[in-house]
Amino acid sequence: MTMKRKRNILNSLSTRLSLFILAVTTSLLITIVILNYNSSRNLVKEESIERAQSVLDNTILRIDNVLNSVETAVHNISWTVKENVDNPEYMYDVTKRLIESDDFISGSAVAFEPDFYPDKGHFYSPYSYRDGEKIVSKQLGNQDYDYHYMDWYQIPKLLDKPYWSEPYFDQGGADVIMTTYSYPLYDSDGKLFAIITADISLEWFAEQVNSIKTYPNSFNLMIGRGGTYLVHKDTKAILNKTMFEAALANDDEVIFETAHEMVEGKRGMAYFDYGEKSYLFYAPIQATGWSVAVTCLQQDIFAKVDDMRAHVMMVAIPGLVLLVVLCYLLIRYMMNPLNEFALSAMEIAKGNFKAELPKRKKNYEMRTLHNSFSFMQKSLQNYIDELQLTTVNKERIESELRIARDIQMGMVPKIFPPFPKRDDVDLYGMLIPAKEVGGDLYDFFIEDDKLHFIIGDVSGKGVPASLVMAVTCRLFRTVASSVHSPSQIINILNNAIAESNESNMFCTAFVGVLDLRTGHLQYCNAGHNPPVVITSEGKTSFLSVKPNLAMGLWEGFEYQEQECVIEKGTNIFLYTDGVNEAENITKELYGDDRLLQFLSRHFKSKPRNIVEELYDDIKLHSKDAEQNDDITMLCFTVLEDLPKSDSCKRLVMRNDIADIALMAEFIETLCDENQLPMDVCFNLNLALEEAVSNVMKYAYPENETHEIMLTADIKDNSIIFELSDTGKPFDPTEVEDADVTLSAEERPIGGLGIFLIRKIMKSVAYKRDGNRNVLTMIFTLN
Amino acid sequence: MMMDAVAQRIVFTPQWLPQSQFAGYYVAQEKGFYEEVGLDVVIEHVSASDFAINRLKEGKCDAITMTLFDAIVNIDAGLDIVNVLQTAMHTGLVIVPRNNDIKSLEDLRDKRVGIWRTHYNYLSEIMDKDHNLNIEWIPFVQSINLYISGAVDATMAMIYNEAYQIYASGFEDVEFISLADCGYDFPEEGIYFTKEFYEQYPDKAKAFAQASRRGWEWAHQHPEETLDIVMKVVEDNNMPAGRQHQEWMLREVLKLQLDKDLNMPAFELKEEKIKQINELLLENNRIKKAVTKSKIIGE
Repeated sequence: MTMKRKRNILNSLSTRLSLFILAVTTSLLITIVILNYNSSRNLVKEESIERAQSVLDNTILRIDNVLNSVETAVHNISWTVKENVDNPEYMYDVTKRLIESDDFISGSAVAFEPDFYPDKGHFYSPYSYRDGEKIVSKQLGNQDYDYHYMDWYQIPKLLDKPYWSEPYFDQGGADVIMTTYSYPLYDSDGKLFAIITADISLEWFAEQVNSIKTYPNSFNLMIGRGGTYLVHKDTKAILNKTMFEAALANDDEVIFETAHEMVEGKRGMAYFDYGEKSYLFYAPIQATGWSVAVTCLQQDIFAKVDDMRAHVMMVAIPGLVLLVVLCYLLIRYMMNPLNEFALSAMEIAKGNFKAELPKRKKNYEMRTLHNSFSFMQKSLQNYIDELQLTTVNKERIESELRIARDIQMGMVPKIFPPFPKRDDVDLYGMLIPAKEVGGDLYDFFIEDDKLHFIIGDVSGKGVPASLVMAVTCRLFRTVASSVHSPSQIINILNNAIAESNESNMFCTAFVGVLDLRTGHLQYCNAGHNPPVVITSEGKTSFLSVKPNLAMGLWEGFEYQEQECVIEKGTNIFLYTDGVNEAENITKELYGDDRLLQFLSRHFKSKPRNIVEELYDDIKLHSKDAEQNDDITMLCFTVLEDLPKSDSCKRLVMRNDIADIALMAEFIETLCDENQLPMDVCFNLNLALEEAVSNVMKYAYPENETHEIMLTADIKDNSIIFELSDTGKPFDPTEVEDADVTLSAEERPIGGLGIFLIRKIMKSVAYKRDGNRNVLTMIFTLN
Repeated sequence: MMMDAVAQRIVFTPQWLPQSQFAGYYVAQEKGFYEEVGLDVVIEHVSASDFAINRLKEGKCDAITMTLFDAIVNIDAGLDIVNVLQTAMHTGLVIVPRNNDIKSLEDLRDKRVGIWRTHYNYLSEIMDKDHNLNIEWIPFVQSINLYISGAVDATMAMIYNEAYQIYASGFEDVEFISLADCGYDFPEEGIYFTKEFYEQYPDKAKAFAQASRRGWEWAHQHPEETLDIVMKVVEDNNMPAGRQHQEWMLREVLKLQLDKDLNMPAFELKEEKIKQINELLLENNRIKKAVTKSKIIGE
């Protein structure tokens, strides 16, 4: 089963781009819709305000016209009352004529002041009213109906001006709401004598008001001077409730303020949220002090705008969804190569540089990407190929260099001491190439008691130098074994190297031949550093050399030979410039002075110690600096006390218990040569084995190789043995004789040995001579 | 007490149109308190021109409600009536100024002030005289249009009636001047039977008084339900009165019944108040001689 990596859909570029487009488009659309909606609303609002107010004004105008016509009718007829004031009965005609003159007038009275006509009594108010088609008349006032205190009579009288009464419910008539226009009549003295009235039904007004139909759910109302509802959709409220009560009941400031504005005869508009959001437009009827209002529900006013918005949304929302889907699909289609490229890149990353790339696409970006990928593939392949080749070559070279190094190292003597059986020379050499292989060389061998040696330095480093070095080394061995003159050797080497020196390589060298028997040294220098001579007293000096030329530069050059005598105990130190020119990180050289100082300090050391400790000192100087040149050192000592007679024999052993066998051989030889009896031989062997093994075991730290020297000198009747070592100071004579009563395990170290030695030897003496322990043992023959 | 086999019919006329002012009686009727005491009570209201006292005089009814002032004046004038229950302890009379300049009685000097025409307003007249205000009283029959139209400078009003109408007509900021606060705090309504009925059926009259009192007490305890009962009567009579008005009225009427010291209805006719009214009326020559409490309550 393949594991599908879970992908968060929101992280997909296609989704995110689509969502981004959706967000931007939606924001834009919403903004447009809102702006459009708001401006439409404002337009519609303005229009509806205008419309409502114009309808309202028209209605009010119609009502005003009626009111005016009634007022005019009353005014017109009033003069006849004044003219005929003497004729009370005439007043009935007046009222009838007034009713006839205007269809709106349903009743009319001429109500006189109390006792105006003495013969008519306290009340006289001829009154006519419509009764179906007819107009009937009666006298209105009586004890039960004292019209003098009725609003329609009293208020215009008190106000001294015509007055439209607040509508009232006419219980006596046709059970309709009436309003009465009262017109006061004054006599020539300006004294009020009667009020002429015209009643009109409010029904017509209500119809007019209710006919205003601005919107389906709009409703209209009319209120009186005290806010009393005169027209209202709730008929029970008519004359029973005031608009103020409605406001108080609902604790609604807006209605309250509006009601005040209305009763104050103002015109305007109010917005209130009264369960449903509504607009209320109002305007006054000036003549009566009433106010007409149209109430429209906001949702009606904005119904069309809301419809339009709904339509827009109905189109817009699916449109947006479609847009997003299309965008998503298109983007995904266009982005798809990216996924393919990603897969290809993954393949390439895995190392498959020949992974197939997606097909070339038409669009520029993908084509460019394809080309880049293709180019990258090729470049990578080339690069990797080159890298592989280089790596193989490098590995081969390195491997070859390792072999070359082994071969080169095999060319120089590496086994020390090189002449364990010789006691007349001690020699040690070291070659540390700066690279795998180097151009330094040294070599030596003894032939006919003559030490032939060479130290050299091929110009340059590395492989070329190593080749010249190999040639030189091999030539030296070959030549020196037959030619024993250093200058001859160098001449031959020089000519051999120079002969086919295409690369202009050269090699400095110092070649010497030392007669170990006499200390006579013949030498020839070919442009090499002069060796250091370290006397047994610790004086150091450079050997006087003629520089001549480095080998390989000048074929046929005649090298000049020199010679001198080396005193016994003198150390000769040869080196290449890798020693005195060793640099530290600040490029300071090790230097000749430091070299000489070091050597003079160590004049008593053996060649091996000198070389190894000097190498340590060089490393101390250069510290972390990389070794800049091959370091080669060769040191040898022409040992003191070269055997002057046959009587003195010498044996050098390593502190290796195996070398005890050398000692046994040495004793046997000694005894044979001097024809000593077997028991003497046995005893000598016993005592010396104790002494030597003691030194081998305890004088030096373990794992270090050092030399122990044993000499034997037969004088007269005695054999003098001298055992010397450079180990830690130890006087075996101070060790108490072993308690021979104890078992071997219980006895302390050395005790038994010295006991045995003392038993066999005539005398045993110890001295510390410089860094040496010297144990002298004398054996007496017979 | 033995009940008559046939319930005694009592025609009762409250002094004004159906409204919360008479809530206790509607409650007693509706809750069957009258029936419980063997009474067949008929509540017949006045009309705009048919006053309660006239109805009583004409024998159209057996009992009416009347202010203590009216009762004393009428008894002095020879009307034989008996107080069986005093309901209101205080006066609900207020003066409602038409403009803000009028803040005290003194501001009413020489002003036109509306006043009911339906009954004689002794207290107003006495007040006018006491303060020498020279008020031009403008009688009105019913509506507050006189006030609204601005034909008067102020109007007398009952706190529970006209005061509300004015308040609900866009004059909500008007400060009422209460006559009680001006030193004219006298008990108002009580139930009065004709002496004839009272002497013939004293138990019935007393039973009516007790049942009525019970009605009022119930109204104090259940104002909301009382209002519902009132509204039913109002609607049955096709009266142009809204619930809000009736609620206001009920609250104010019940308030007037509270004894200020006890803070509960006392239904008590105080001798002291009778004495003060007598003094005021005698001083103003409204009555010939003082009317005693025992005379009022028919003892």
